[in-house]
Amino acid sequence: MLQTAEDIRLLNEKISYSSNFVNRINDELGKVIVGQQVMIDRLLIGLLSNGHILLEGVPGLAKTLAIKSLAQSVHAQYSRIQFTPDLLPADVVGTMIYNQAKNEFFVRKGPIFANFILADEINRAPAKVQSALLEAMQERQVTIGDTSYALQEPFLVLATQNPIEQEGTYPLPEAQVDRFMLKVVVGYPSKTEEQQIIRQNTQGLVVPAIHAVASTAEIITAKELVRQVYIDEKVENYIIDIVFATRFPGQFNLAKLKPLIGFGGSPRASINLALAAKAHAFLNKRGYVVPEDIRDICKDVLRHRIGLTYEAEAENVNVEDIISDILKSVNVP
Amino acid sequence: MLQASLQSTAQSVEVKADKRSILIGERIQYDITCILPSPGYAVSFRVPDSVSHFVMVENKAIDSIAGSNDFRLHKRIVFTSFDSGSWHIPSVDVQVERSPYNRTLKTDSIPVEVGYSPADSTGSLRDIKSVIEVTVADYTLYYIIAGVLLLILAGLLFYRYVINRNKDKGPEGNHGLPAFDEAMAALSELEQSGFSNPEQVKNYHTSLAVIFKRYCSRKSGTDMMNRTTGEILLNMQQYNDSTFLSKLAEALRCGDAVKFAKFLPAADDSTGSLERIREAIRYLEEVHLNTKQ
Repeated sequence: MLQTAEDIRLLNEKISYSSNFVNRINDELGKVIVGQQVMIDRLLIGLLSNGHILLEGVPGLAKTLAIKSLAQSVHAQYSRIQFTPDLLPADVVGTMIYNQAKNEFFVRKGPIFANFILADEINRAPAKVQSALLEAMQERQVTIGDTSYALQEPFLVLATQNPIEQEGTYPLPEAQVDRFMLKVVVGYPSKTEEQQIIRQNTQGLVVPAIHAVASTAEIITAKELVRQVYIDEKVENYIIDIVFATRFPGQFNLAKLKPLIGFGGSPRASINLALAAKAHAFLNKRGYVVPEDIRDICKDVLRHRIGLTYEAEAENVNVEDIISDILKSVNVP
Repeated sequence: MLQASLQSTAQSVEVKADKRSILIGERIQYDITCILPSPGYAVSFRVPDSVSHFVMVENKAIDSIAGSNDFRLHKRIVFTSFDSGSWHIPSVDVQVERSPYNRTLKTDSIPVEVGYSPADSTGSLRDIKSVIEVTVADYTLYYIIAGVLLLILAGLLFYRYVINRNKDKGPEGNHGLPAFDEAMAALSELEQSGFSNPEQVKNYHTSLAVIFKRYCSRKSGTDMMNRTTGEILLNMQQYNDSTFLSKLAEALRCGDAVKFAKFLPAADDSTGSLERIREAIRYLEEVHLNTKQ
């Protein structure tokens, strides 16, 4: 759909009005979460662009608190699934239970029937459970028995992985990791933030309550607006160049990366980069995407979509380094 | 009685050495001769087991010589010495017995000088062994080649360094002019070129951003051409001047909207953007000059 300058101007105005709930959510989350603004932004990007998020970070970085608080602030349903080796697909999606009195089966829906799902330590459950969750994420519906049930809107899955303690885990295959829109690496807070965390957790007697400051309807409207955010052809080409540079680094004067990259980003990477950039623009109250949006979100979109070779591992090169090199080399429009 | 007396006077012992001065390690023959009037005497040469400063090389058996008037017993000992100095081969007892006669004769001690070989600086030098000719390889050529290769390598590394340094310095521009003059000239040229259609407006704002980025690249020595508006503004926060920053942000953000959102600003806004960029460059130039001073 071609948009005129007037369309974009109107969209800008609409977005600037409709994105007010973002500030309210940020303020509300700020009551209980110190720092971690990037993680909160990414949660909102996932929420607004129909994506799901894989969160990697050591325990205790407010991952659970963030999604729980986000659910509370949006007045949405939240459920947490702790992935363990003995978990079954039915424990996630639900199952048919026999009612002896009525002599019939009835459906007991699983915890996936919520707006915000925290799949804690997703790599601790076997592949069949992971598949059940990922399928539900992709299809946005679940089949129990003969009936298919649509999942509620908004629907955001936040899966966590622990970067340490890899023994006894079932690492997600590349094809399944690709289904996550963003892979966010959560870092430690700064010294000042940590001091604030200590004070908040040791001095205050009452934990501040999170109030619902946005409705699911607002979120759904925002999602529609995000889809309408204008993305210029030059910016599209910029996205394509970045993704192509992960596949054919030689074409972008990055021949040195060729032996380090096993496989580059899929077309899903380009789609998600564009969608995430649109959501990023929306969060910044803009009706159009600028290269900054792409650069800001690029690492989180591509991090889990680029496969490294053994040579890269031997040389201690990580995906972030490769993406940084690509961003330096690909010309900004 | 008279016979006994005669007999007693008839026995004697002589000692002699073939040298009185030897070099270290040189041999000396020490001869003891016992002269008797006739055979039939029991003679015992009491040679000590060791003689201080000397080494006994040979202790030969006693030899007898029967002469027309006497009978002689002769013993030869070969000594050497490794101890320089003036030493004496001590007196040796020779016991002569013939019942009832019994007598001990004593030899004279002999002085011996033991010394080093005298150095003679006037004599010609002699080789210990025959001279073997050794062929010495001449490595000069190799050293020269290695030196040249090293110079070439150093030259290549320097060339690479210069190339990379120039790369960091940013885009190719009119480097004949200083960065400020080049930016001002480009802005004047852009001002005169004007704009009449949307495509020209787009190019106008794109050029504004390029001029500013090129100026910053040349001034800072780092490539800023590939930076986004946000990154440039973040970089400009170092000057801690909110007025400068807001004016620059306004110009660059307007350019972004033109480039990426089909925004068509009024002609005044476009010329205003150019003025803001010009002011920003002037401001940066002043800051650089003040920092230098």
